[in-house]
Amino acid sequence: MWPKDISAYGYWVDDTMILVSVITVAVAILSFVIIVYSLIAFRQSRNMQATRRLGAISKLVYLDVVLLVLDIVIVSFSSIGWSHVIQGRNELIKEHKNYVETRVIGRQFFWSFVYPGLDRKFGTNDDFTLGNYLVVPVDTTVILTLTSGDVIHSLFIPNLRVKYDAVPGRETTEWFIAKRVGDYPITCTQLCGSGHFMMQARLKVVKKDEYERFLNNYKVWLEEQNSKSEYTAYGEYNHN
Amino acid sequence: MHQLESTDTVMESRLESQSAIGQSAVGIPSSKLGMWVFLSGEVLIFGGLIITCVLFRLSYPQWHEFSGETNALTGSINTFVLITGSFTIVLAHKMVDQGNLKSAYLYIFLTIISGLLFLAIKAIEYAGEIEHGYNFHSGPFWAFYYGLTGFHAVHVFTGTVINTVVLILISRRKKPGNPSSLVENAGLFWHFVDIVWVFLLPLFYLS
Amino acid sequence: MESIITIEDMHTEHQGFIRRYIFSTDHKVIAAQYLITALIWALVAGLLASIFRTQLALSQKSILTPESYNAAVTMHGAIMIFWVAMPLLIGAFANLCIPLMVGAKDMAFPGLNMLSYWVFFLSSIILISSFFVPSGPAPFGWTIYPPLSADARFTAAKPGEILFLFALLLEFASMLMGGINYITTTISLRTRGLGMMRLPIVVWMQLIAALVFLFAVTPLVAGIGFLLLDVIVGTSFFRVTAQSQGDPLLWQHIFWFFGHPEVYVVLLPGLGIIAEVFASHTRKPIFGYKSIVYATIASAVLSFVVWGHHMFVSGMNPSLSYPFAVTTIAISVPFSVILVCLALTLWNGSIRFTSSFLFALGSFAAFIIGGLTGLFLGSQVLDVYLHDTYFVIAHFHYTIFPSVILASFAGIYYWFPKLFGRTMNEFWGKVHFWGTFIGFNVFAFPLFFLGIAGGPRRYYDITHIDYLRHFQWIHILSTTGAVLLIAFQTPFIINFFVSVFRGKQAERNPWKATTLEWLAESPPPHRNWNGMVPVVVNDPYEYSPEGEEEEDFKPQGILIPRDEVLREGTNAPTGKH
Repeated sequence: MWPKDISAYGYWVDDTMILVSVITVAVAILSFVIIVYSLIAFRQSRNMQATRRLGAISKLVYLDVVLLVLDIVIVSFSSIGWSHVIQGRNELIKEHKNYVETRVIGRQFFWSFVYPGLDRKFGTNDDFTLGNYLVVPVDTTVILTLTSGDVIHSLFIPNLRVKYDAVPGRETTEWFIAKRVGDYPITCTQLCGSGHFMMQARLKVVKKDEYERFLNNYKVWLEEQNSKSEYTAYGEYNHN
Repeated sequence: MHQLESTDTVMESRLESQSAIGQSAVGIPSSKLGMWVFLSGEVLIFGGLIITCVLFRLSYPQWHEFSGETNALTGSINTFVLITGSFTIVLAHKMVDQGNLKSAYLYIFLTIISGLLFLAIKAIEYAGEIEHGYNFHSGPFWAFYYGLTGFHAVHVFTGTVINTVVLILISRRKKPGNPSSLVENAGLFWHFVDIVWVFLLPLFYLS
Repeated sequence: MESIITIEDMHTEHQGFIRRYIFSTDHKVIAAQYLITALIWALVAGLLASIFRTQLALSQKSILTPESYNAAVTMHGAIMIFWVAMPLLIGAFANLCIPLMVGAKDMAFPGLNMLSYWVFFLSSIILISSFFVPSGPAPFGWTIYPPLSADARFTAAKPGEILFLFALLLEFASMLMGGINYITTTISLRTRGLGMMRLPIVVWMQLIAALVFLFAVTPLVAGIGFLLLDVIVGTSFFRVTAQSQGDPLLWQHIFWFFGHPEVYVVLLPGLGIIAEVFASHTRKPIFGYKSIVYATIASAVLSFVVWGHHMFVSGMNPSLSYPFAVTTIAISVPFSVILVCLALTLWNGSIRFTSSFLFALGSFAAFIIGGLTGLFLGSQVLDVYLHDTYFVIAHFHYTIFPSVILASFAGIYYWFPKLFGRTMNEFWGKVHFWGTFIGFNVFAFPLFFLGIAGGPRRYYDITHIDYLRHFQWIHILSTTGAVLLIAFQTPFIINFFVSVFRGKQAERNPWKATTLEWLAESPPPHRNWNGMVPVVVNDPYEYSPEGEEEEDFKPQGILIPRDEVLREGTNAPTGKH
């Protein structure tokens, strides 16, 4: 059920998930055991007279101290994980020297991915745009700079454990390092109109040399893909 | 039989009405408490509007140019008008407490006039600004200006209507149960309207 | 000594049908009006849900278009929160309980109270009309995010949207008017002997909820004002155009500053009802009365500083996630205090399993699941994955439904004898409970897993998405539960209306409960006390007191003839403050 994790830091999400699950299930079981026991042991037919004195079980209120400690553990774990998963563009550029960047523009109802071409610079002649098709190299820091052309969208890549809103009028950042080659789904997770459910895009993680070939001549590369796999690019747009 | 004394009269009236005009369990009359609850809600409505305005202002450097277009003198006159109205309604309340109803009528009337005067000045101001070409679409400063001062003006109008109704009620032959409380609560609303304006003044006129 | 009945007490004898049952200022009539209106809206919103859930289950066959699907989910959410939760938990129960439980003859401002209902009625009419305009009702989610909601370029439903926003403003006005009454009455009109720390829990909960609502909704009124300007006049507070850049995130801040406290507004009255029902059905005082009061106040205050957890991945400064995650997780502490105290009320009790108790219990149990799943969403790193997925939907259904629906039913079965003077049928009440509870769990629990699988919310069809296609069975299972849930409301509807007209006459105190409302007749007459005065002499939950032989409870108050009370002088409550 839980999608395969192909991200370098996805374990932060997954491990926090396990931590919180264990705690919540334990608390839930404890609560339900006490409640069910009470319902059986103290039903009217078995306990005609209620007693106001509770005895030792009233100490259960101190459970809240335990919960407080567990809360601190959860929040600490989650905060550290967050500091890895969500970073701004400037921090990322400083820390990761060799990164690959793609601009993403959410629209009603498709994703535009703008590639900088071989010169790795945006706004030059070799930039090109693909619709609903994100190609990235494996084991490389990928920075996505998101914005929207109309309403708020949100780019979600389950296998990489990344999600961030694409907001018109500003640029937001998503980043990841994909550890496995393959095809993975991308969906939109912010209600953007009647076609919200149709904004599925495709993430293709390829080897680094393939990525160079893709940037060099994406049209030829796409044709090869179309003939090879069942997943096709949904269209391409000429930049400029 | 037991003779009713003054404390009993208070208890009697409390039990009798157990409603807005009676005494209450905590010493503040219910009607005043109710008015304060209402006003605290209003504070947050205007607070929300004003904070939003401030946030926009902080991210728009061009704000300063526009606020030069509003007339600080007109704004100050309007401030003076409103404050005078607040002053006269306090006097009206005092007069009612002293039993001097004729003076109270006059003072409430003055507050009503101050409200109408404020609205007239505002209308002339708006007309001038619109003629200059400034409307809702002229940028965030103007959108906020018309929005906030307009919403405030609606409250000035409502307050003036309330004061008029109060004046009519206390000048009729059959007096309401507690005229002092009525005037006091109307005054509280008017003070609120006044204070909001004092915040709007620097926001739109004095920067 | 005869009790003195005043002219006002005899008023209703001479009132016509209209003045007595329609344009009435009597809080009990107003409570019944809110109750019936809210239940009708609940049916409408529930049927909307059945329709779109059927669409989800049948996927390839179209009952709804994607546009009308979005409108259906939007209206379901908005109606449930504003036209069901608030009038039911607050409009009905605050109006019914507060004056009776504080020993007053009516609310502090009965005319305002009546006005509040009719403004609510008007808002309902306007909302209904939004369904019938050609462009249809609002389709952008109950959260109304701009620019989708603010810009005519992106949303075609402008008339429907404007009607919706005005209906919403009127609903806020109505609830604020009610709130003025609830707060003032609780503080000002308490009878002799009723200090604040002797108030029944349900009154505390209503008071705190009313205060939270007052301070939370008012900034949203400002926000909706700006949104209306954007929609109608074309300003750019929230829209982004080439000429002027508004800020869509500003709306989110304003909305969630309201939205989060609002969920506690619709939770606290439900917890209050659970407390009342637990106490009388276990024949024990509520455990930890003071802890519950302080913990509730703490939660209410904290609820104002957690709103950012709805915006972790929205574009809000990521550093802000740390304080918001801390406060969000922290709020689980006072809430768990409340829940533990309620659980300990059961221990060593003598539990009577009536329909009312079953609903209170089911509400309590389901809420534990809802609250615990909140921990997942409050942990910001998990929220990156779970945000806007079905996990969120399952979480909030497990918190809101127990409070708004299950606890309200508990309250209805509990106070029906007092309000209507008749008894509801217990057997059908239990049938209603089991069908509702099982139906709800079958509908809601599977949705957690759809969220974990990465299933986004507000999706018309998931078979469209290849990695979600094989989870379609979750939708089918969930829809089955939903249909079951709706179907089992039928015994309730029949039971309710048959009992109102032909139910067995109710006793004054069928549950042998302690609080003041059970001193009044069933139903209480106009101005409640027949000229007598209820005076409080005990704490609110003196069940099974030591040494008592005949009855296993001590009522909180006694009725004293008015002139005896007058003779004793002092007019301040002498109970513990």
